[in-house]
Amino acid sequence: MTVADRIEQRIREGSLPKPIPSWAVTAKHVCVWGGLGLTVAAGAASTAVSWWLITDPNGLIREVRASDWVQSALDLLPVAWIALSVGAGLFAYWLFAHTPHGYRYRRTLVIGCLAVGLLAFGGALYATNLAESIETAAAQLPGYEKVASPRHQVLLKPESGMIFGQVDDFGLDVWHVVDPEGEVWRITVVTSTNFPGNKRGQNQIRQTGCVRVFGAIDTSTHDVQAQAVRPCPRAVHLNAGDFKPNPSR
Amino acid sequence: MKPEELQTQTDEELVATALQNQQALLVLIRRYEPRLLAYIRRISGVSVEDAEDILQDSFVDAYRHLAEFDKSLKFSSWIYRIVHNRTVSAYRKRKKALGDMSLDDADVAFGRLLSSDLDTMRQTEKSLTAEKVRKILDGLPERDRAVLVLAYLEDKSYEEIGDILRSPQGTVATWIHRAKKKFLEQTRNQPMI
Repeated sequence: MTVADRIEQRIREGSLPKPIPSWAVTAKHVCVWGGLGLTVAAGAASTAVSWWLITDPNGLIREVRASDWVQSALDLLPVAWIALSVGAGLFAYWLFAHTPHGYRYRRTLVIGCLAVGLLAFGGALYATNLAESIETAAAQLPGYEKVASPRHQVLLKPESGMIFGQVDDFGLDVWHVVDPEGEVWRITVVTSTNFPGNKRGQNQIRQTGCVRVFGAIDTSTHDVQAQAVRPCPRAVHLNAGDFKPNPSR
Repeated sequence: MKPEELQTQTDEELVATALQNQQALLVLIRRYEPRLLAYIRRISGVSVEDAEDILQDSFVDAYRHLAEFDKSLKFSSWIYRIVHNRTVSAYRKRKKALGDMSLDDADVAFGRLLSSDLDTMRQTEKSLTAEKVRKILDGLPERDRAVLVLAYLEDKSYEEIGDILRSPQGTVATWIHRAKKKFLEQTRNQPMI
């Protein structure tokens, strides 16, 4: 009995499985292409935010922390956003390989095109100032504090002469700054304290009240002799209204 | 539609008809059964009965996924892909050696393979026996064996092999080049029969 005979017999018996309907195939293709589009969009968005964070003029302050600026630069890398971009790129490659003709293109070519596409599309989003909006929207998502927390740890190192937080009281010579852990720091501002050279930075400090302070820090008395004051870097979300000193301290 | 009308249809037309008329599926199966059975046995060395089981499962699979058939492909590439995947998974499960297959045609076709390269002609004895070819093929990795069989026994183009193995044409060319090299190395290492 040939294979054709066997199949013919199954047709007669009605035991041949039914074909998958066309609409299911179409739905599958829509899911793959739609998923690919969404993944590329997500990858481009995270690339844009990565650009925005890496190019932050208030991120790496070389004149203040000249000795260990390489380490500081590495610490301030937006690892989570970069990882999201890379992950989106790899997932997009996987999806593309599952499109009907995706296998016809070499892996290196597809990954290269995706990398260039994400950088270009991400760069375009960054250039049109959409990166900040994307990051702000992402900050509303549950669990975002887990992404922000390592960054806070990098910025809050009193033993290394560096704190950041919300100014509770802008005095003439003394400010009170509350850090994210609720510690209140007494900042002494003197004439030699270095402030941002441009008006924009100074306005930013006044408007947001979020500052980074570098100087001689006494961790037992929480006194800080400010050598330099800078606005908080991008993507630090300290809501002044919710920001209360820790009563137990 | 009458059975004789189905016989005159192209493969791709039969695929479209098979969704409504299962007789069209039978015409397709009859067209491809002999060469697909040979292909299964060439790349896996399974027995005729096992090859028929694999082929039957492959056609049932193809029928289930008929709506997924990509009209820009040749039907032969599509069915070879399904059969190839089925065979490889069955082969991996059973891990059978190339045992009882006849390689008379392989002898001739691999002679073609060897003489396709000028250096090869100088390096290789022309009188390769079927037994020797079988042994060499047996010693080659699964993918090398598949590309050599597709290229030289099934006479498939690089594009078709790419569609069957779901790989770019450039990659297929590299695989064939490497597989030929390995095949030639083996011919040198095997004692002449």
